[in-house]
Amino acid sequence: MFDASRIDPGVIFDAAPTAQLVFTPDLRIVAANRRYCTLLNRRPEDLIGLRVFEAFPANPDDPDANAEAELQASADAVVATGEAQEMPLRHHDVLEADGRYDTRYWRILNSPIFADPDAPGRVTHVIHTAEDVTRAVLGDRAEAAKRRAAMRGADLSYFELDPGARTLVRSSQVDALFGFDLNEISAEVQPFYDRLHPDDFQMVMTELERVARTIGSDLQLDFRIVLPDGSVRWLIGRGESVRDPDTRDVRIVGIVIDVTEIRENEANLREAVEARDLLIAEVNHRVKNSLQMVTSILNLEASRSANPEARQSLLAATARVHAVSAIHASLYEDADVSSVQFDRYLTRLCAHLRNSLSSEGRNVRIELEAEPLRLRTDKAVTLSLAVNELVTNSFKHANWEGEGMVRVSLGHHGPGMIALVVSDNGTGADAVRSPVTDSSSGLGKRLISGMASQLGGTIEEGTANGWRTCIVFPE
Amino acid sequence: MAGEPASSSPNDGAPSLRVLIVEDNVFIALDLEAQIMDMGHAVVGLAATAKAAIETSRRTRPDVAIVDLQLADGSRGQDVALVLREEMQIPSIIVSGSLHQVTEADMAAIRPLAMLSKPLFPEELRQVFAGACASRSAV
Repeated sequence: MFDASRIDPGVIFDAAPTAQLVFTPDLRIVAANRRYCTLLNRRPEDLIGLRVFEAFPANPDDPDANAEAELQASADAVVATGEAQEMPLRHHDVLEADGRYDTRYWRILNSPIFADPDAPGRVTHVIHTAEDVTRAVLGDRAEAAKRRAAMRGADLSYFELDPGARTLVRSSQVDALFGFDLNEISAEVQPFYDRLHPDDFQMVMTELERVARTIGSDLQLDFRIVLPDGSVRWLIGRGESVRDPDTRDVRIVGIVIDVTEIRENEANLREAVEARDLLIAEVNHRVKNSLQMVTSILNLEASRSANPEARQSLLAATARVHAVSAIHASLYEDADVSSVQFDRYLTRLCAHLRNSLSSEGRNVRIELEAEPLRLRTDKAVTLSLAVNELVTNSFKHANWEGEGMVRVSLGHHGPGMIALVVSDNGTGADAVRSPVTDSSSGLGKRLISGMASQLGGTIEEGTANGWRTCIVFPE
Repeated sequence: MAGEPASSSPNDGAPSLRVLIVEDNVFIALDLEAQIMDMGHAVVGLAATAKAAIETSRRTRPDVAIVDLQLADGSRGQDVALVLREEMQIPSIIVSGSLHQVTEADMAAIRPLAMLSKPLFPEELRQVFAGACASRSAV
């Protein structure tokens, strides 16, 4: 009959959740509980009677293995004091059945047993409680190793600043960055502060204070240092503040990178762009001035010419040059230098054409209907000449009864296509247009068909309520 | 020069103006002169440098000046327009291929009647002058 009020202490020993080994003060094993045997993969009969280090020989490949002496010292201390002794974290590899050594880390507590009823104050045995902390230790070490490898791989300058103690733990790259020889300076941070650029010193201090005030906040430093030879380097620092789990001190950990070359490249690029912009502005100025000179010369020649036909030809040439020139006046009105806001330009051109052509005797309206549209400069020049020719033709050849009107429209015409339409109300649909006889108009017709093909477009002429020309070209 | 000043103004009785042309390119200057005379105004002189422009202005007291920005000998049209405005209360019409050179501060001090980009449509100049005449008659 089972009596729950009585239990064999040996059963309790075996049931304990911690691994326990009992040995005499000279390290001869007397007992091992089940948890211990499981942990070390041994049976009790493999251990009992052996000395601890006969059962668990030191790893011959581990030159630092001095576990036996340490354990003996701890056992001696238990005997001498009659009190439990905690051993420092220990590394003792365990010999496996296949002859390999398994890396193990141990946390050990040795406690006294007083088993001799005749000498109750004498320690007869030591009960050795072993906790396997291999996973925790190796995990930490693996993380640290990964961090070190990552830093070495990236050649990073890693630092840990302790603002309270004013110390700086750092990789050797940090010393090199700040122009210090290896081991030239101690853990003090002050020599590093001393090399901060005077204009950046206060900003760096303020940022470090800010980051130290709030644990986990991000460090964002962008600063200069002055090396002993007087040269200035640009550095950036990135990191965060953390609280040391043991000491509770605040640290700022992070990296610094030298970005001087990037900064210098940026500055060089900025200068190059400025020089280019200056050059473009200068060329643009000269082109505009030269075009103004050409139109001025033509204006002067036309106003002085006594021969009406020559004067007419000069005026037609002047009008064409005006159309081209005005495009250049429209260029560089905004940041985009490779295209022109063409609808805005057309407004100028049409105002000019109405006034200059009306002054020849008739009052004619020009109606403009233009979609907001940017055109590449070369296309814009060609198209402006086409508008000039077509509108001029209407003024020359339309037979207006009552109010004359020329309509100019520009807009999208199907996908990817643009249509320019110039039409007038100068004749009825069945009327015959004034014969084109003079050489200037003949040139005008040739120019229009030439320009249509230059735009890669098609030209379509017809008479509706007057003359109508439509040029359709790809965008 | 390009003939006699027009005896009758085409501006329907609006007063004709006395104009100084500040431009270092002779063709452009002569063309401007012809256009201005064609509108019925008088040209009091052509100046190619800031120094000449200011001296001519002090002597002839024009009603308005047409001012190019980059002048011969490296002098600047902005400086001419400023002296004309501040010392003689003469307004300017700025004509240039580089209008962007005129800063906001320049604009505020010079208070130009107009800023015209080269190359000019003659009609644009005509409109500015028509406006100048109208505001002058209104005074």
